[in-house]
Amino acid sequence: MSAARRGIWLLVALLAPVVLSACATAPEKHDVEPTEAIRAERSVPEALLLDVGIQVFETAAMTAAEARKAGTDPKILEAEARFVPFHLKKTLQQTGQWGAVRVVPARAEEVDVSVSGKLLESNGERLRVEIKVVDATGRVWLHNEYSAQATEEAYAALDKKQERDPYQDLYNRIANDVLTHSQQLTAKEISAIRQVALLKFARSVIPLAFATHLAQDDEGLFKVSKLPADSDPMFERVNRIRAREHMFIDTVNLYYGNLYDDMRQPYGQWRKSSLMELNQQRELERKAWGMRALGVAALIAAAVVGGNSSSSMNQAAGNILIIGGIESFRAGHQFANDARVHEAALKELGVSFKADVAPVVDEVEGRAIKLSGSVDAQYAEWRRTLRELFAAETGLPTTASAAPPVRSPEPGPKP
Amino acid sequence: MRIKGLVIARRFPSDLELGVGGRFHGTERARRATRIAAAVVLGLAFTAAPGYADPRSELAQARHDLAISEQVLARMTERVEVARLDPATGPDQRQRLDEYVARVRELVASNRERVQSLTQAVAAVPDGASSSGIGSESPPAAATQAEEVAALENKLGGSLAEFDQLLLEEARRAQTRKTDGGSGSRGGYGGGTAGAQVSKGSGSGSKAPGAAGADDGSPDPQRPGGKTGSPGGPIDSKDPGTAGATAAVPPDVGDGNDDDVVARQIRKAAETEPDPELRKRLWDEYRKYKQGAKG
Repeated sequence: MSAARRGIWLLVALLAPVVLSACATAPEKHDVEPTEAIRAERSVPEALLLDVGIQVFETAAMTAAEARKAGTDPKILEAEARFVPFHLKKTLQQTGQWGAVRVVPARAEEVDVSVSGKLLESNGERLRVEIKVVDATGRVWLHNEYSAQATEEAYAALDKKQERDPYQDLYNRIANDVLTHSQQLTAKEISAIRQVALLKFARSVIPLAFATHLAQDDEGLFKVSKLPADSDPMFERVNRIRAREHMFIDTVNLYYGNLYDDMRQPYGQWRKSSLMELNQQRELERKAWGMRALGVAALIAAAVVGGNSSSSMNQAAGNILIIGGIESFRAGHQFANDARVHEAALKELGVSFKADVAPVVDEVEGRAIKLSGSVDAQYAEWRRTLRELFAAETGLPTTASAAPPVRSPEPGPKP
Repeated sequence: MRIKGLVIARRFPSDLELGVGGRFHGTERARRATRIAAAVVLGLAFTAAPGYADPRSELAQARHDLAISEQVLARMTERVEVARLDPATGPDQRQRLDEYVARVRELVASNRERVQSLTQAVAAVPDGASSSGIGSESPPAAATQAEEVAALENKLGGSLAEFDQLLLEEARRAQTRKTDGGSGSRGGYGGGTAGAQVSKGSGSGSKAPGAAGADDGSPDPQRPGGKTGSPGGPIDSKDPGTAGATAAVPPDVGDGNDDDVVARQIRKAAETEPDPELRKRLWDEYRKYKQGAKG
C-alpha cells in the first residue's frame, strides 16, 4: 500500500467517527407548516397510555449583552424555558393520546417517555427549539429542531379572547411526531417501557431489592430481566413512594401552571409588540437604505449631467439633482433615526416584560427548590427505612449503597 | 404504652395544622402553641419510655420519633418566625413562643441522644445474635422480627403521611396563590384563527385550526378516568394508577368528575393508600378540600 493510500485511509479512519457522531447527534431540522394536532378519536385503553415527562427546557447560552441584542433577556429566557414546556404539556394532554403529562423540574428517567428541549431562538417573530424524546428503555424516539415563524395576523386576535398560541403549529407538530413514533410500538413494547420505567424507579429507591430486575442489551437499552411478584411487599412500598413522587411533581406543576397563567398575557403582548416594532424597524431601515441609494444615484446623475454639459439648462438640472440627492440622504437619515427609535422601543419592551416576569419566575423557582430540598431529605429517610426493612425481612446485610437520587438518576445509555 | 406514645407522636402534624400559610393569630396562637408543646412533651415522654426488649426495634422507633420532632421543630420555627414578624403578636406571646421553640429544640436534642445511644447499643449486640435483644425475657426471634418490620412499616407510613401533609400544604398554597395572585391573564391572547406561518419560503400564511384552540385558560384537560400514573399493583398488564386501589371509595365523596388538580391528587393518594388510618385522613382531607373549593 502506497504512502498516499495509507494516508487517505488514515484520514478516513480519523474522520469517520466525527462524521458518524455528527450524524447521530445532530437534530433533524423541520420548518413547521400549519399543523393540526392529532386527537384520539376514541378513548385509548389504559394499558396503551404512556406517561410523559417534559423537562424544563435548556436555553441557548448567551451573555446578557447577546441576549439584549437578540431582543430578549436571560430572565425572559428562563421564564420561557418553563412556559414553552408547559404549553407543550397542555397540547399533549389535549390530544388524549397520553397518560399523565407533567413538566418535571429535573431529568427524570423513571418516566415512560421523557421529553427534553432547548430553546434556540424565541421572540415575537420566530420560535426555534430542539427536542429530544427518549423512552424509559433508553431508545431515542426523535431528535429534531423545529422552527416556526409567526405573523402579525397570528397576534391579531389578542383581544378576541381566543387562546391559540401564535406558535401552536409548532407544538402540534411536536405532539404529532411523538405520537407517530408511539403508534409504531406494539402493545408489548409499550408494556415493556412502562415496566422498565417503574423498575428504574424501584431500583433508584432500593437498589438492594431491585438491582437485578433490569438488564441492558448490546445497544445499551434497558430491558426487564425479571418482574417482582404481585404480592412483594417491598414493591408495594416502592409504589407508595412513587405515588408521592408523582404528587410532588404535580405540586410543582401547580407552580409552573401559576407561572404560565401569570405570564401568558404579558408574554403575548411582549411578543406581539416586539414583532410589530421589529417589522417597523425593518421597514424604516429598508426605506432609509432606499432613500440613501436614491441620493447616491441623484448625485451621480448630477455629476454626469452637470459635468458633461455647459448649458445652463443642464447646470440647473444638475443642481436640482444635487438638491434632490441631498434631500434623499436627509430622508434616509431620518428613516434610520426612526428605525433606531423602534430598536430602543424593542429593548424597552424587553426591560418592561422582564420586570413583569422576573419576580414570578423567582418565586416559582424558589418554591420548587425548597420543595425539592424537602423531598430529597424525605427520600434519604425512606431509603434508609427501606434498607432496614429489607434487612429485617431477608436477613441479608445492607451495605449502604450509593443509590442515585430519584429525580436525577444516573445517565442512561447513549444512543 | 409504646403504641399510645407513637400515636400521639404521629398526631403532631394534625395538631400543628394551623391553617394554610401557618400564620398565628394573637393569643389563640400562643395558647395553641402551648397546647402543642404539651402534646409534644407528652408524646415524646411516652415514646421515650423504655418499653422495648429489642434495641433494634427501639432504635427504629427512636429514629422515627427523632424525624417527627425534627419536622415539628422545622415547621414551628418557620411559623414562629412568621408570628414574630406579625405586629399583632405581643411581647408576652413572643416570649412564650420562643420558650416553646426552645423546648422543642431540647426535645430534638434529647431524641438525637437517644438515637445515638441506641445505635451504640445495637452495634454492641454480637453478630449472629437474634434481634430479640438481650435478656431472658426477650420474645422469640420470629416475633421480634415481625415487630421490627411492623415498627419500620409504621415509620414509613408516618413519614409518608408527613410528606402528604407537606405536599397538601404546598398544593393549597399554590392554589391560593392562583386564586389571589393571578394576573388576570385569563383574558387570553393569541390569534384564534391565525396560525404560525410556514417559515422559510412556503409563506402561505394559511391558517391552521390546531387542536389546542381551547387549551389555554381552561382547566387542565386530563380525561376523567385517564391514566394518572400513580403506582400500585402488578405492572405488566394493568394500569399502575388504578391497580393499587386498596379499599372501596367512601360513598359520600362522589365520583370525582369535577375535581381540580389538587383534589385529584388527594383522591388518588387516598384511593391507593393501603394504611387504613392514613387513608381515612386523606379522605378527610379530600372532603375538606372539596368543601373549601365549593365554598
